[in-house]
Amino acid sequence: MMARRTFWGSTLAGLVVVASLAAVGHWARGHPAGGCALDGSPIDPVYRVAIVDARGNSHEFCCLTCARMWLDRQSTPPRAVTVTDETSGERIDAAAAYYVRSAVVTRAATGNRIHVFRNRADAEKHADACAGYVLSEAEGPFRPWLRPARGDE
Amino acid sequence: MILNAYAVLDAFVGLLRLGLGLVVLALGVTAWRTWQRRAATPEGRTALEDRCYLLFLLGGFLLCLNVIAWPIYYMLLQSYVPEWPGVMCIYGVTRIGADSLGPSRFLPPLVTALQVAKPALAFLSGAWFVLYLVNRHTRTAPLTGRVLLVLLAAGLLAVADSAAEVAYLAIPKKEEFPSAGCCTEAFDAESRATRFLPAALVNENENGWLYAVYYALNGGLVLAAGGCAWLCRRGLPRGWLVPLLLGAAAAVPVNAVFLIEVAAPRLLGRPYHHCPYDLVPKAPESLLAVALFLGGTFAVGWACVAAWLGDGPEAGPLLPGMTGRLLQAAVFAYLLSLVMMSVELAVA
Repeated sequence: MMARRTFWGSTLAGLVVVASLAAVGHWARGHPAGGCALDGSPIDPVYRVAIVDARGNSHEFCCLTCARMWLDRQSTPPRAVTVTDETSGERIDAAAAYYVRSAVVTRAATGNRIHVFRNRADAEKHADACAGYVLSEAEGPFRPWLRPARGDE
Repeated sequence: MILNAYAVLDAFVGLLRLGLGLVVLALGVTAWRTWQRRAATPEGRTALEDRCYLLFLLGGFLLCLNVIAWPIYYMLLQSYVPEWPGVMCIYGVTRIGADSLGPSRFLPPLVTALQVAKPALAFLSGAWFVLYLVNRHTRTAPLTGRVLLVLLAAGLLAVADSAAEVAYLAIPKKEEFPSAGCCTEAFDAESRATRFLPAALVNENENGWLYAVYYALNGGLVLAAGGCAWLCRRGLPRGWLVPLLLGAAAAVPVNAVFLIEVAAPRLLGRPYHHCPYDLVPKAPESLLAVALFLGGTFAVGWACVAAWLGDGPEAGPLLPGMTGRLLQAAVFAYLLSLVMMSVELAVA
């Protein structure tokens, strides 16, 4: 009888401890800091990708790979996708950008090798310098979600 | 070799375990040979058990070190994360050396082997301790042979594990770079391993079934282990432990999938990021729930070891109490794990 009482007593104490620990742990962590909306890693402004979803909420990503993985899980197409021109650092519409697959990795954690440029000349220059090639519109990273807007192919 | 405080600690514990494991193996083989010659008489068994004190003392020390080495190993891997650009978590560290042509190519298989060996070693050491406790409470130590065999197996695994760990520490790795990315590619891509499971179970937006399976299985285990503990004390036949063991074994993959698909994204606050290794730095308290679950599973396994390997005319009467206590510990661990995970998910 005594042993049974001890068991239930320690079980009850253990339950209180683990429940408190879980709550305190969550409270101490707070909200996750900013960063990539997919995996939370820091965003390099040169490779930033921004997506406005169907409900109008904006999400930022560290590279094209993360943005595409996130889009794969959405049931509705995005309202807008903005990428960053690597030459100027300016944000441009994803449908109007030129994409180059080259030997240079933009982010080692995802192994992304696709680079973004506003101008075709910059894209070809990077492709020549880094053993890459300019992607056609059909090969574009956001092809399944965006209508082509470049109009030069 | 990357030298930091955890590497020094890990190397110290690893070398200590290696030396201790070799001594346990040498003493164990000698004791086993003596046992085979003298086990015919109860007096011979008692005399041998008296001579095994040093061996069992070292076995107990090795058990403690084997258990301590498990978290130290993960702390070491976590401490290596900042060493490479592009490595976000322990998963990235485990991939260092992949596609390499130098000695670093052995790093990924070594890490994988160590991740499998650590829990196996903890279980085997615990199994030895349970059998040792049963044997110690008998008059003529009839289980000494089995105790020695399990201790030899644990010693052999401890030697292999610690040798692999020391080799992992010694192999140069700083100049290597991850060739296949980090956890984002492995756990978040559509092609990840759990994609072999039905989409209804693992889709982020429709994983209600996974919750149902998780709670049904873990809740069922609490009730089943509690029921078996109660029945064990009243002479439950050993065969009844088989369904409980199968249930506990089935809960391991279910809990792993639940951790990756449901718990990790929620606790990390990233609905599409499924990396369980990220929990180590970002939600460390949740690892207690994982440890409790593993403890419960091990306790069920140890109860089966006691019931099946500890049986005999002399030890038999001791088994209901021992298996009952182990199953009660399993109830405690499963219940606490379930409650802790539930609270974590509720407040996240």
